[in-house]
Amino acid sequence: MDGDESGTPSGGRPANNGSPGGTLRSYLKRGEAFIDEILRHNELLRLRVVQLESQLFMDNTPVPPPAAANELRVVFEQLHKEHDQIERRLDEVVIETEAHKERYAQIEEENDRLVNLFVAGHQLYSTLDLTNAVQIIVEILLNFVGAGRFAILILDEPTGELHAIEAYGVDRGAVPVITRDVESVAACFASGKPEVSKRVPDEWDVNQPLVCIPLKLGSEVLGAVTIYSYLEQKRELTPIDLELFTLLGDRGGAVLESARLFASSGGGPRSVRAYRELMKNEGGHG
Amino acid sequence: MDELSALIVEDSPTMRQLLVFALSRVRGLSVAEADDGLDALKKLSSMAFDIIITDINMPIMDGLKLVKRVRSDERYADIPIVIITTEGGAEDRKRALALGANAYITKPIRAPQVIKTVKELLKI
Repeated sequence: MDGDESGTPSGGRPANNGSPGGTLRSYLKRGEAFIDEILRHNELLRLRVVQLESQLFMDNTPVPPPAAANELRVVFEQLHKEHDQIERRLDEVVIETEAHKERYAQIEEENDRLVNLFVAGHQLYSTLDLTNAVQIIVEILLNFVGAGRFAILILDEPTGELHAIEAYGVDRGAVPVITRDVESVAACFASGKPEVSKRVPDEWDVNQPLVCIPLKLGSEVLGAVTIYSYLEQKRELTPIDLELFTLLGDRGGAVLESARLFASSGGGPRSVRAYRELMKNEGGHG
Repeated sequence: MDELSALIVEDSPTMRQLLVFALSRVRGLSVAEADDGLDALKKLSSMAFDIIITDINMPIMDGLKLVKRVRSDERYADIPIVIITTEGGAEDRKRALALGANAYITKPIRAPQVIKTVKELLKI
């Protein structure tokens, strides 16, 4: 039977057998059993702690002491700060790179502009042959500007009329003879500067040039280039085009006139004497 | 890096000079010139080129004939060819590319565009 000497079943409420001494004994026995139970649990817990510590040791898991944890926190905060600094610097570098890219594009554009102007100027002054000089003007207009239809007109002084001496994309005979006071060329003759029409025509018109470039010799206008349309792929005029117009206007007249005079003079031998004679006639120092 | 070489085929001295100026800025690239397609073929037979840049409208032999001749000759079949022309129509472009041109640029040209195309084709 599961019970004590007094017949009280273990773990149950103490039976009152009516004797005060028996009741006390019963309570003491139950207290002893409770203490034994606690001690047994305590032993089990200690055993479990030992097992866990052994396991950590076997797994080689570092268990940082409090001081090391503090050091790690300081290092972590430092790394965090450096990370923020690097991110800020990265943002700055991105902005700088964008600025450099923009500057590089500007320099490329400037190089392109200078190369175009240099080559155009260089070619214009590369010949005294009238046919070649006209051809170079045509090439500049076609290849550098992208003009699709245009004419080179020269002022006929005796009549005051402008006649086409060359045309591209349009029959030369179809280019009308005009006077310098007609609306389409009057402004460029008056200002001595290229005049660009703002209108965007549906169809090109030989009587309505989109651009008129005066061909000058000094301040004198000897003729004009009239552009009627652009190449299919040419969408709009660029700043380089406008500079090329100015170059053609300022140099084109002189180039054509030099070639004309050279051709009409027959060239002749390039003697020093001839140079000196000419300089004397022109009031030079010789 | 070994020096690469480009052959510019263009009858207009003005355009040739512009292209020479543009391509001379590409580091490691030397530039030679030919007046037309036939002149280009002569130069190809005597020198090695890594890229050809050609106009279409030229006397004696035009650019399209040159492309055809180059592509039909296995010695030059792999040389990239860039067409530079005033012909801006879609059909012109299609025809040139169908013949074997690798790139098609319309005039008026801008130097940065030509340089970019050449660099891409030469993978430099």
